Amino acid sequence: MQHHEFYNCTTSIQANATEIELRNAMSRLYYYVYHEILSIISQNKDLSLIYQGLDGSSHKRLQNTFFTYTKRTGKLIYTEISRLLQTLHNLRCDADYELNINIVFSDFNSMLAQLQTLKSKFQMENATAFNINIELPKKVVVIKNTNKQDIQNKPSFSFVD
Amino acid sequence: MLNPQLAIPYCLTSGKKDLSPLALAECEKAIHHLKKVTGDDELTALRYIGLIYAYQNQCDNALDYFEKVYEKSSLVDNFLNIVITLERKGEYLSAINKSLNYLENNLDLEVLNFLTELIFKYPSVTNLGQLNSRLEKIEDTEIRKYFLGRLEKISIHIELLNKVQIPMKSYTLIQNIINITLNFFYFFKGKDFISEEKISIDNELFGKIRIFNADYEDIIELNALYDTKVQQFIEQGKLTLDEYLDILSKYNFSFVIHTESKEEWEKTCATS
Repeated sequence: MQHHEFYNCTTSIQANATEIELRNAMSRLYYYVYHEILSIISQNKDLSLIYQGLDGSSHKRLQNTFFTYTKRTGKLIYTEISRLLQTLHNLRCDADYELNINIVFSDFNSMLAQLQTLKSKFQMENATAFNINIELPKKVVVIKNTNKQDIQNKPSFSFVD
Repeated sequence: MLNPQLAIPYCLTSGKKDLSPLALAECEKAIHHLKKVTGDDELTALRYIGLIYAYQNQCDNALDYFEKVYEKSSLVDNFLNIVITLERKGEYLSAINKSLNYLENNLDLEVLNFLTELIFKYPSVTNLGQLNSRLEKIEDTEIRKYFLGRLEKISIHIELLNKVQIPMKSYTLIQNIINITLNFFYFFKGKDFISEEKISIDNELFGKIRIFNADYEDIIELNALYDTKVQQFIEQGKLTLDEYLDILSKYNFSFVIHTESKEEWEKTCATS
């Protein structure tokens, strides 16, 4: 299975999704990122060496790979990437483990926004990374009767990255 | 002679942030007229100039005028304009020190309130101790109890930071960057925010910064603003790369969308 299927399965999320649907989508979104990053690391000799030499959980190793790479290259963008990986991981942990909080649609959108930021940063260095279209879930915009004309179909649009 | 009240541009009184070229041109025109005011109304005019500059986020100019006003009139509102502007500029240490000094001789509850908020945002055991000593001068037991309660929250915050071994200096530097980012964003978009922190599953500190009435693009913009600010701080030598990497190994935060307004959210919290 290709890892972008993890992302694809989240694109059907609507504004009226249930909490469990949102939690699952946020979790799958993170694991899309996780596998994409692993793929990027495996294609870069320096990143691979760093990753293989690190201890800790697989998630921490991903984050720390880019922290270490910042020190090697002096390029702050890798710290920015690492910070976003941490953020996405923490948001996914909230979705998976924090059952005493409410997870709502805006949390899912927040995670999408973090993903978009991460994608933009990677694509500054590697145009082929995160080769997905990030689309905001569709919303019903307006239902309106006017004196002159009835609007028969609900118009809808999606925010397209 | 121009009545300063008449010179206030509409954008400042309309209740909505308007930084369109037309609004900014009105502000410039207003400042031009207000600078000509002399006599009894001069102080009011200077204050309005400061407020107009603050409205445009020209903090240095705003501070300049607020200081001129304070030199002529030591009302607490004039003092507060100075320290609020200092904090907005990111000079939180200066804001804290000035407020502590002010409270040494003038026990004002608004300044105390402002300082307590500031020390919560930028915790420090030393400043907490100094704030505590100012509270001892409050005679009203209810008010003293109220502020002691808030100080207790600051102590708990410091304990949390110590628990995850976050160096206070680095933490307050990052908070400074985050707050400058958020203040800048609030200034231009009028979207308020509130932060909450907890210890994450990895035993690190994770902060969620809820932006009220935010949307997807706001989060992307905030991330970009924050990263730019970090870069500036590092280039200016205010923060080293090693310090930044060290703090990020123990502290992470996320800007998150909160679709309610702040008032609605506070109502929900109060009833739950």
